[in-house]
Formats: sequence, C-alpha cells, structure tokens
Amino acid sequence: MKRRKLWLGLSTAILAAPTPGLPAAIAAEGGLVVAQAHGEHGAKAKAPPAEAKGATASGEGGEGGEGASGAALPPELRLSRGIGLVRGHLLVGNELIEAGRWADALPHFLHPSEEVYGTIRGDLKAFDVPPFDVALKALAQTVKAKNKEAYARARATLDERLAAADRGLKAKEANWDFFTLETALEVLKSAASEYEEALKGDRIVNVVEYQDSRGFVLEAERMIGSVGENLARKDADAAAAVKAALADLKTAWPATLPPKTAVKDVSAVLGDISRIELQLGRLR
Amino acid sequence: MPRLRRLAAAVLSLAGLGLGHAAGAGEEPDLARWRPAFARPDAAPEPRANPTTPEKAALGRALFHDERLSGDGRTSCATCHQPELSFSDGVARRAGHDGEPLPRRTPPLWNLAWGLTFFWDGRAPTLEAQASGPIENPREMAGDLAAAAVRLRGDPGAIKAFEAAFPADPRISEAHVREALAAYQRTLVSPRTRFDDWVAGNEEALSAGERAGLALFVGKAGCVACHSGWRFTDEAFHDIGLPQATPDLGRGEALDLRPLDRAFKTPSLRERVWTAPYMHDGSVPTLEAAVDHYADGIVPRPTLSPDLPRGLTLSPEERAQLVAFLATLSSEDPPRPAPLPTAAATAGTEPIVAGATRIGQSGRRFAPGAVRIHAGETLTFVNDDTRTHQIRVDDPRMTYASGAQEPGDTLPLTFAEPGAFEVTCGVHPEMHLSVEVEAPPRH
Repeated sequence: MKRRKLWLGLSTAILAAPTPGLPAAIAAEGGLVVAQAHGEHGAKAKAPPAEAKGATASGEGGEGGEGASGAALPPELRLSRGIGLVRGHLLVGNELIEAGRWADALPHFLHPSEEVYGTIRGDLKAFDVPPFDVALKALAQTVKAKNKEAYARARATLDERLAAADRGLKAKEANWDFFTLETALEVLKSAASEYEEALKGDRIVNVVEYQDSRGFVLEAERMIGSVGENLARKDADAAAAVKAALADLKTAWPATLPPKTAVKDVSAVLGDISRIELQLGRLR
Repeated sequence: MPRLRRLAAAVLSLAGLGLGHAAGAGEEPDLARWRPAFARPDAAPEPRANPTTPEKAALGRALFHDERLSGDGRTSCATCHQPELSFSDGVARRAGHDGEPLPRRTPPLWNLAWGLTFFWDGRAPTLEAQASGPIENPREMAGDLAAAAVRLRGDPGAIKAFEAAFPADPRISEAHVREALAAYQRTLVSPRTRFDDWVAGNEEALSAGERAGLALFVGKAGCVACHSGWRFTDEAFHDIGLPQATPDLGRGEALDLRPLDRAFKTPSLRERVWTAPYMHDGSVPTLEAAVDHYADGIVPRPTLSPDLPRGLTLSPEERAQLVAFLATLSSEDPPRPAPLPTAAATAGTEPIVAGATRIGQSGRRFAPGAVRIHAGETLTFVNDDTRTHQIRVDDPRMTYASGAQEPGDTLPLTFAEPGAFEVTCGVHPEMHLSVEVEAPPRH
C-alpha cells in the first residue's frame, strides 16, 4: 500500500518527504509558521517531535488510518480533530442518503465507530464529554435498515452528543477561534491523506476514500466558517487568504461522486492546505 | 388453552430474598444478593400446544418478512419490526397507512417467549393471539389472514415449508401462520451482556459507576419495583405520569377499568440502548430523558401507579450512573438474537392448600398460590396490598373479570363446577392462583 506521509504534528516544522509539485518554499514556510503558531498555543499543546513523526508514519487514510494518525496530538486537539472527522463522515454520508444511495452511505457511518472513536475514547472523560459510541452505532443501524425517519431521529441524537463534545472542549479552551482553525487544519490533513489513497495516477480508484476526504474538507470549511468573522477581526487579510485557499482546495471534490479524472493531484491539494497553514500565525 | 402457570422467577426470587421492596433512600444495598433475582434462564418457555421446532421457527421467520400477509402486498412484520433496529423502527410513532402516526410506539420483540400478555395494553393473552392483530389492523398491515393463507397455498415453497413445520397437519391455515410467527418470535432472545457477566460473579464486569447505578436502581431510585427479573419487567401495567400527547387510556380501556387509565405494560430494559425513543408513545428520546422523567417529570394524577417513586431527587452524577448501569443491560454492538433451548412451560410447584378460602394479595402475590376447594365454595380475595388489582378467570368453563379491586376491598368468587382453574390479576399478570375444584362431598 502506498504510504507517503507529508504532514507532521503541528510541533514539527518540516515535511517528512519531498513532494513533487509542492514548492519547497511553501513547505518550509508552512512548517515554520506552524511551529511558531504551536509555540503560543500553550504547554498542553506540545507534542514530542519523535512521537509526531511516528504518528504520521503510522497509517493514515484507509482503514484505521484517519484515527490512528492523531495519536501524537495533544489531547484537546486529538479529541477535537476526532469529532471533526466523525462529522466529516456524517456530512458525506448524509449527502449520499439524500441521493438515495444508502449502500454507498453505509461505510461513512461505520467508519466513525470503527476508525475514529477508539482514538478519542480515552479523552472524552477528561473533557466531561459523555460517551457516544452507542449513538454512532445506532445511527449506522438506521442506515443499514434504510429507514430515513429513524435515521433522522438517530442523527439528531448523535448531533446533540457531538454538540456536548464541543461544549466540553470549549469550556477548557481559552482561544476557541484559533483552536477551531487548528482543528480544521488537522482535519484537512486527514483529507489530504484520504485523497491520496483514493488516487491512482489521475484517476480516482477508491470512491470511499474520495468521499471521506470530501466530507473532511466540507467539515473543515464548516468549522472555519463558524469562526470566520472572529478570525477576520483579528486579521482580515489572513482570513481572506484562508477562505480563498479553501475555495481552491474544494474544487478537487466537485461532487459526492468522483469525477472521471481527478481535478487536482495530491501535491496541488497539499499546496492549498499549506496556504491555509501559512496563515495560522496571523490568526492566533 | 388453559393458562399456564408461570410464577415468574423474578417474583419468587424477590420474595424469597426479602427483596420485594426497594431499599430505602440512604441505604447501601448489598448488591451481590441481587444476583439471583437477575439471573438469566437456561431455556426459553414454549407452550405445549405450539412447541418451537427449528422448521416452525424458520417458517415463522419467512412469514415475518413476507409482504403477502399485508393488504397492499408491500408491508411485512419486518417493515416496522426491523431486525437491524432491534425489531423496532427507531421512531416515536410510525405513520399508518393513512399517513397519520399510529397511536403507540412499535415495541421491540426481545424475549417475548417470557411474556404473559402482549401489546402495550396487554390485550392479547398469547403470542399466537397477538400475531393477527397488526396483520389485520387497517392502519398497519391492512391484511386479511384468511386471504393471505389462500395466497400462500398457491406457492410450492410455502407448501413445503408448512409441511416441514407442521408435519402432522401441514395445512396452510390462519392458525398455522399465527403459530409459526409466534414460534419465530420466541427465538428472539437477547444476548448476554456485561451485566450478565456481573450476575455470574464477575465483579469487574461493571465499573464502579455502573455498580453505583445498579445500587440506585435497586435502592434509592426504586426502579426495580417494576423493572424486575432478568428481563427487567414485572409484566404489569402502570401509569407512570407521562404527559399525554394523545388520549390513550391503555390498560384501562382494555379492561374498562378507570383506575387503570393511562397504564401501560412495563417494558423490558434489555437492549434498550438500541431501541430509542422510549415509552409507549415514543415521547422520551433518550435514556437520560427517561431517568429525568422519573425524577422531575411525573405528571401527578389519581391513576399514578403506587409503585412509582415519589419525591425522588437525583443528582446529575446519580442520573449519569443510572444511565451507565442501564447501558450494561444492552450489547456493546447491535444485538443479534441468541436463541436458547426451549422447554415446555410447566405447572408451578406451589403447594396446594386444601380448604383455604381466604386469598391474600399482598406484594403482588396470591397467598396461598394454589388451593383445593369443593364445587359451590367461595374464595374470598382480600386485597391486603397497596395496589389496585383485578381478579380474572379466563376459561371456557368460567369467565370472570372483577372491577377495580382497590386496597382493602374484599371480593368473593364462587366456583360452581369441578375442574382446574387459573386465577390471574388483570393488572399484574404474574400473579397467579391455581384452583382445583372437586366435586362437592356427598353427605
């Protein structure tokens, strides 16, 4: 299986491997800016570089990957990222259900409990977040049953659980706007990994991974949008740059079902994400 | 079919252990002594008239999913009782054929082999009797069982399946459709959970918080007063003070007894995390909300069950502990049926008391539980309990239903002809009295 790890934890300043098509300057700048940003995030946000390298080298994307890659993150970021990944799955899954594609939607409702929840289970109690694994599984059952009414009810229940997780995190996070942006960036990194898994040359050969990555990008967009006004007040130009980069990034996922030919290659996707990462330091 | 005596293990255990009442507030119950009261059975009961064979259960399963039983040919039992959703449908009240919500929540079907009555209001005495209800309800399956049987007779596969299921009499009849459906449902036994491991002696199967929840359940919160036995139901009918979204009188209407208005059967708590929303009307969305109801939400009215906790105060931590405990009664993953070997329901082993004519009813139990009298003699039922009861005899030779028998009421009942009769309570079907009536002595 192809595994090329490009992204490290926020505490590391370099890319693990040179990426064709990604300007070295951007890569280096991005790493430097991230390192600065992390330095001001607070002591609890620090993660050992060695662990970060280990984490990024150990599976992301694919089965188990998107969850496992969060191991080196600080607990609050790991939890927030995990919630974001769950929501990303739900977003794209919901798109498929709305299109009547229940069978296609099912993996996106199974992945959160199979791949993501286990990586945040241990963090829930520390943030006073009630467990929600049953709510995840119960929702997946309604998708198996192709029961839209039950799905809507179970979805509402899960959304309330996830909102409780947000509240738990928010209660302990001093700089929520920046933290949200940081989390969105982590979610985008997962999106890039999933996208890479989906691609073979210029063709998208793994639809589920493509859809995973689409869901993550949509969720990151939602997250950034939720704090967009506050970020703009901090630095309007930086906020606008984030918005523009996100808009460019999104073009890689024109629809729930993939295009015949990939709109962007992985390097281009990573480049867009780097443009967002570059602005972090200005939006603290 | 004469009513089978099934003195529930839970009731016996509770009585035998002196656990008929929940521990009072502040008491720290010795949890270990509760283990026998919640122990799972080794076999599932089956009526002698309809034993559960693999062939019959397989036929019942096929019929359960067969849309030919419905009027529109597009609805089966499984349309509402979806296996993926613990044989329920995940919504508060499903829309009927007319597009309007049905009056009650689709109940999950776990562990019905142990049921004493069926439907939320208990109006069906057996699973066989229950089976035709939804099929022929014009708002549910809108079918006609006789017509469905005719349709099935034209299907070679069905003919073969009925021959295997009913070798002595392979006709495709309404009765056989009902019996096969009932046999299948008796195989829907909920799997073991962590709580069962705790019952079996593994103390570590439950966390400290979950054990604290259990202590509340059998202690301060008093849940066990109704949610008793391994299935966590007393099979009785209670008004639990839910705000009424619809004017549904439940057991009161079924028995035409006003004191039982708004009373519904205590639901089992097994596999409940998979069967939200809750209550007979699906009005309670989560287990947390269910616990909150008993602490904060009971609507006071005269028909409230005397077994309902009153003035209950629960801290947020205690509520969370209760919810955590309740979750241990469910599988960690979506449950699949775990059928048990079957065993014919047997007559109880209550010692027969000859000549006793005074029958007490304290603690939801007839005392004595079996008597022998002569034809023409009268039994006097004394409600020395704190609850409303209803004396019933449902027998082709003698049918009797008392009115509401309030605490303190005394009720005479004369048995005119010889034979074996079963007396039950319409509110608490686990109450059971065997009456052997002998011919009058010659003088």
